[in-house]
Amino acid sequence: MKPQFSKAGVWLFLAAVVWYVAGNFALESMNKNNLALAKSLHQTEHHFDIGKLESVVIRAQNNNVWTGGIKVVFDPNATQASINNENLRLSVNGKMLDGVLNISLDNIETRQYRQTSEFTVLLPPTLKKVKFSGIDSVTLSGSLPASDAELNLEITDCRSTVNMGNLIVNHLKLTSACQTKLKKHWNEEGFVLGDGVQINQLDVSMQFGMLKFSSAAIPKQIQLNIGDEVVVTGQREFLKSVHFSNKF
Amino acid sequence: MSNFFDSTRFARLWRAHWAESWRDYAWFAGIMVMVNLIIILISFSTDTEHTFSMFQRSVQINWYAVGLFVSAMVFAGRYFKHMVNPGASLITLMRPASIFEKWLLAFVVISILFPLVYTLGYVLMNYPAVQLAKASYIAPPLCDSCPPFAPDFGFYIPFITVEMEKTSAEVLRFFKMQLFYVLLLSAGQAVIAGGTVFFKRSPVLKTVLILFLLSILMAWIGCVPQLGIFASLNDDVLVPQGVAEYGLSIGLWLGLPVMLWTALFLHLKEREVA
Repeated sequence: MKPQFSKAGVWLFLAAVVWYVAGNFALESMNKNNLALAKSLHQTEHHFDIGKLESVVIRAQNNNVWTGGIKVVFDPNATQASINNENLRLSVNGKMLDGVLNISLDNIETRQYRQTSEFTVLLPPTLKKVKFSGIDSVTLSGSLPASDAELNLEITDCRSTVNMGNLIVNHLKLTSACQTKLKKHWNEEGFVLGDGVQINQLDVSMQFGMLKFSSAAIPKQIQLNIGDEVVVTGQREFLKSVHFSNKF
Repeated sequence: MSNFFDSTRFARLWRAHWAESWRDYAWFAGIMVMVNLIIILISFSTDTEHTFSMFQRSVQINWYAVGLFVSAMVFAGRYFKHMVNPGASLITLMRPASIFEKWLLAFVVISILFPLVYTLGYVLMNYPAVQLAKASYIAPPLCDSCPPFAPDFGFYIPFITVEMEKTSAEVLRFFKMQLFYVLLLSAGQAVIAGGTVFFKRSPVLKTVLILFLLSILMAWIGCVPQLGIFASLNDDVLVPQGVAEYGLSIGLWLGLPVMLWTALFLHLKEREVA
């Protein structure tokens, strides 16, 4: 028996390894070209002239829309609502309805590209109310410089977590319409006020969920109208300043 | 009577193999049934809120796929276990059958019959469990404006059950994903079985070591598995897949198991000659 033939199985195995490597590199190269094409076809920027509108709703069309990395920024210099959508899997639809700007997010059926998924909503400081519906997680920041500025943030379900950081506003109202205590292993619905949050007056109305306050600047007035199941986390200075009520 | 393949001789080989191995297979099946039963019981007993997410369709698919993959690799590793023992391997290799018939028997048992029997067992055990979960499900109360949450207790049978509310493109995508899984499973079984034939001592350990070293090598050279046509969600909208991508994907992921099963055939030939 020829020695070469006796190792034919080994050679074929090595050929399979080379086949695997070469095939994957070729497919990867093809994928890169397709990604470049998809990016060139994707609409990244959206602008909405909202005039005197004071209310915005950001909504996911269904449960399957990925809404994990949304950023909302209040830009004191902005005069219109703008969206920068670099997420190839997300489509944006904006409509003015009954004095409210409705921003709907939906899935685009496309390849599952591995990339960062930036989605930023830039809002003018004239807005007074932002509602989140079906959104998993939002990072909110920015400034509403008017001395009497008031901002209402509302969660309409038991799904959203609004993380606030570097946010400056006179009067902040937080509302959650969640009506049940749900167990979540990876997220908890509610509000997180982190570093750089500067507010004079804080009003919170929620029956379930969580509220975390870790900013160094404690508001002068804090009114928490919260249910018995709400978990409030904060440092001593914050908790000392709170007025609690339960009108549910 | 052909030296390459003879149906009568193959049938005799099959009967001899079954007579020797049916007890091992029965034990293997028994252990898998026990493991599955324990998982089902744990899932029922720990779900105090009666949402039974473990029995919903997406989790069913994962459970089926992981269970089949792991057990199929173990089964493939045990098929040629007698090759470790020189006496037993001699008896097996000297059986009056061609190398192709012995290889074909291995392919049929490992790559075709085992997944079919596993699927049958899975359906028999898990279908009643899913129906029980569906009947016992209690929907969590949500607020009026919350998006509706619809649990999906549709029972999953590979390549057969189709979610009727999905578009034809989504159905096709899911079919392609299942096909890819089958090809990958077959390739994995071929590697494990081939290793147990090739290595005379500690075959499973050496095969696993080789695979581990290969995975390190792949990571080092930056070779990331590309699924091509099997991975896309729906390509028809933005970037249609071309003929080249179809050819490359099928060539890669079908060629791999073909080459590995052929390598097993050559390993068997070498052992017989040696």
